[in-house]
Amino acid sequence: MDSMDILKAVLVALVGGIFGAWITAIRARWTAFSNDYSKRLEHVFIIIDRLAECSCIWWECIDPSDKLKANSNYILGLKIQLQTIIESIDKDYSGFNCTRVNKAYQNFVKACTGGDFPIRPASAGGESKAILKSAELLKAELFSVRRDDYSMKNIMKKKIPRVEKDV
Amino acid sequence: MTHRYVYLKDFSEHPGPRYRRLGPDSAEEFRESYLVPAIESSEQVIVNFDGVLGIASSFMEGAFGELVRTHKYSADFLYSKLTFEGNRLEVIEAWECIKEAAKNG
Repeated sequence: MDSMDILKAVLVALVGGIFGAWITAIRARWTAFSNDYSKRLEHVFIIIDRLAECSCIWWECIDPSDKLKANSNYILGLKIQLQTIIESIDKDYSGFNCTRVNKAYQNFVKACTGGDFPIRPASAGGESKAILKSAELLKAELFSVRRDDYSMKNIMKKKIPRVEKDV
Repeated sequence: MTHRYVYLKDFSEHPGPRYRRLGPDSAEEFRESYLVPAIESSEQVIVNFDGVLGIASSFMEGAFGELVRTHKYSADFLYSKLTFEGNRLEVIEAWECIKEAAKNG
């Protein structure tokens, strides 16, 4: 083996090493990105379920053992929690655009806190059906956005100023 | 051009029900005492939601949807007159109330 062969072997090893490190770095970054994204969406689903459950209890005039679940301030707090987390995901991920879930979100929160909320109805009016349906539609919409986002084109969102009237 | 800021938190940090008869800090009270006078006296009205601890959809409908239903403002007039500031989803919800009221009456 002459010195040329050694040099070639070193060069190949070096290029291979750099390429491998680059691939590993990209894979690690993507794994962290997708895991974090999935976890945050799972958290959104938990809040949606909790808001739907508490709203059903409230609108159906059920007296639960856990009084917090029938508390209008708590229900409103869950709505704030939901809008805050959706907005934070929207800010952080380029593929996630809250206008895509906007309609489903509006239908859901309207079903939960619309009508004469926070004045409790005198009797059950069957609102829970609309609440549960709109909750599932919102989750389906979020799943759909997530499915579309699982491509390597995704990167953390750059901060872009928005024009709020464009809804 | 006259601009007027309407801060919802100056009205209440805990906005109440849709109608005045249902309780304090209602959307009806906010609309009649703050919003409509601002719309009537200014060219641009900026409604700011910051600092408010949760706005129910019923309040949104009562405050903004009723501008179309009760006060008979057209959606186009309100688009040119109003600007909302705050959480993006709250802003969208306010516009949706106006749009839906204009569509369904």
